[in-house]
Amino acid sequence: MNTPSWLTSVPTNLGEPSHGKLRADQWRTLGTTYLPVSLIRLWDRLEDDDDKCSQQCKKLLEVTLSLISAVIIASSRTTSWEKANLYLHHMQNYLKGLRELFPQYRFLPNQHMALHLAEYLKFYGPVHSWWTFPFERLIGMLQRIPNNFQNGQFFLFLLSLA
Amino acid sequence: MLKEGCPSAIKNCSGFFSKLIDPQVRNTLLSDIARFLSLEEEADEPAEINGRVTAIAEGPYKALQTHFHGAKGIPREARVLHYYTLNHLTFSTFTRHRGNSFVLVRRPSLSSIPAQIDSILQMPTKETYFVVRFFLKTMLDDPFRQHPVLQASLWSQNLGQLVIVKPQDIESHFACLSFEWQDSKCQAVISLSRVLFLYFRDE
Repeated sequence: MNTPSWLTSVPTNLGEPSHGKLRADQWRTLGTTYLPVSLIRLWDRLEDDDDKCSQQCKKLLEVTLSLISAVIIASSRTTSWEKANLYLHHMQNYLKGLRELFPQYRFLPNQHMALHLAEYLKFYGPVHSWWTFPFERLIGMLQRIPNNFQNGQFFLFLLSLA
Repeated sequence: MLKEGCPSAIKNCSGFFSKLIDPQVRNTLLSDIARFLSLEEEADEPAEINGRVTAIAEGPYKALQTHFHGAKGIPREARVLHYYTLNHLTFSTFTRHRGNSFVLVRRPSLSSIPAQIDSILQMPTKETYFVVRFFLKTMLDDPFRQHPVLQASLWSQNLGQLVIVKPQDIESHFACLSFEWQDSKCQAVISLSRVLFLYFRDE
């Protein structure tokens, strides 16, 4: 796939343990850019409706695309009541589809919280203005600052100079 | 800020505010140190000049003539740039960076069209123009049509004539993948706009 240089890259060996855990931004790029094209290419033209595997793939495609649509709407830099309602529609479709496909699956608190995001989009506007990723980034920057793990030593050194 | 009576101190900070809220600016609202250090820069400031003045090739010159409806006085020479930076995004020519050369060109009230940047010209008047080729429509069934939120669409791999586009008309970059669909070669185009546009597809 051809992508601009600023787009977060996704590991070429995706799925192998060697690349470690994906970052949130890598998941988003994977989900909103690579997955829709790959999955639609693979599963959209499965025509054998009697085949259980084909039906399963089609349902999986529908459910995955609902989740991706919800992510795209939620992370858009602009929002509106219309978009918030559309987000909720896709998120509900995703969770309903998940329950149909995997009846034994136990939902997580995050999936419940995702249903409330539509309200927050209406109350507070686009997520970029209130999500905590900038703080995560700042923590990352602070963690990368070289230090000798001796708390307060630098301050004592300054006092000794005075 | 546009309201009457707005304190001048706030008005003087308009550059800061516009940088923080412009939804298409790449690093909007990333409140890290590097971000604040760069607040003095102009958001729309293009990057340093990176090309040299040469005679405009025949194809781009014809495109310029068409763009200006055959007006006289179109310069025969221009600075041919390799890349152009706008809102912290780099747009390159096709030969320099394939991914950075794929752009969506906006049309009023309609969905945007994918194009490939062939060359970038900076005229003696300092105005910059992208010389692009639009991707042609495909007659195949578009499987992305039923999922408008994905902002993806199917296009032919063939390109049209050279056309002039202003940098302000660029909506965003796009990602694309060439593949075979219904036994024909085509291209999936996925918008990388940070803003979700919901259009009723006109094609």
